[in-house]
Amino acid sequence: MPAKRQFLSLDTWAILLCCLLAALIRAGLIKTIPW
Amino acid sequence: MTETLTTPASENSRGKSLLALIPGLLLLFVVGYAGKFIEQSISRYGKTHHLVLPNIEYVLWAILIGLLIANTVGVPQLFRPGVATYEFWLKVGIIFMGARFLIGDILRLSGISLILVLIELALALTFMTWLGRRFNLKPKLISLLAVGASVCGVSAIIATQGAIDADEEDSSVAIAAILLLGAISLLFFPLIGHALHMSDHAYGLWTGLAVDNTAEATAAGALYSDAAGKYAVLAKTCRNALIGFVVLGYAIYWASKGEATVVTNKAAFLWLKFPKFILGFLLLSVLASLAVFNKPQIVALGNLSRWAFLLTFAGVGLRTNFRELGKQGLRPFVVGAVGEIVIAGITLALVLLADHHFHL
Repeated sequence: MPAKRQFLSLDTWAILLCCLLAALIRAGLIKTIPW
Repeated sequence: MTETLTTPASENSRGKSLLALIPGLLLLFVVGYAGKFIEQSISRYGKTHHLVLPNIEYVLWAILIGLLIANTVGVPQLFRPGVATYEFWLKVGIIFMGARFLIGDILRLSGISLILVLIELALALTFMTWLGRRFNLKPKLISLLAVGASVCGVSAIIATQGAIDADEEDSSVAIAAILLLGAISLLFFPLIGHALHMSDHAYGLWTGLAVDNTAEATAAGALYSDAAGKYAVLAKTCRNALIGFVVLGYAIYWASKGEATVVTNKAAFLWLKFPKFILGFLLLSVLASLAVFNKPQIVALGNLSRWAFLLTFAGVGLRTNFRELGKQGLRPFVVGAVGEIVIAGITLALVLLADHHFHL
């Protein structure tokens, strides 16, 4: 069995997802569902 | 806050593990949205029938529905991987919340919070250690309970377990005590806050200081009001930021007794234990302060934060199984409960004092 590789931490995934969505909102490419 | 996603070597199994998240994610959304629907329905009913009904936030409904499912039929295995992502959504919600704070406000509020956090930290560590010894708990279990009650709940306990080579059993006992008490605090904190007519800021600060697990602290704040939720997150984030220092202190203590591995590179240790999502929170706050986003965009980011928290709060209820938590024995729970009540009382007094002098 090959050893499992440690990928990005949960925190890093969360930051990357937020940055991506913030950039898309900033560029006007996506709109959010109103709360 | 040190979890890592381990990815299998093949893309195929990575795809499969992502697919496995879907049922649980849908369950989180359905439970969370049901909570929101109940809140809106009650409000609409009150308006159409000209009745003054108490506004119970969707947070409580979502948690109650989750608790009902988890403690009656249970969460089937199919849904568990997706439900476990609630902690990821908590981090996403907190990072997006950064856009709702100007960095100057964070620095000002963090200053007050940090002073109170340091006092709370010293009191909680000392008191929990003293109490644990009085109840003859195992020394490493006392360390885990003290860290859980003083800093950051479950994440701090997991981080400390590795650093002081504690038993997994001790760690699960400490986690169970902290989670059970967190669930109970969701009921009492808003009642006490309303009874004392606390401001959103004072109440949020109190929950951020006194409720141990980040998800429960955020929920306890949001149960009071949206603004209180913001302040609770800020105060809790200050506590989370100190996790590395406390864990390092315990690691050095147990290593000096020859019962844990010696920490050679302390700076690397601190960075490893630092909850990195706080950097994302600060980044969005800096961007918002530099006017990178216009007003509708800030509103959109705030919406994303709220939707992410909706998934989190559903997860808080769904993962709390009272029967499982109760299996861990009475003594650690009693120590945790007595400790939490005393810490909640002291932090409440500190916050009321700070509110009186600094008009929070």
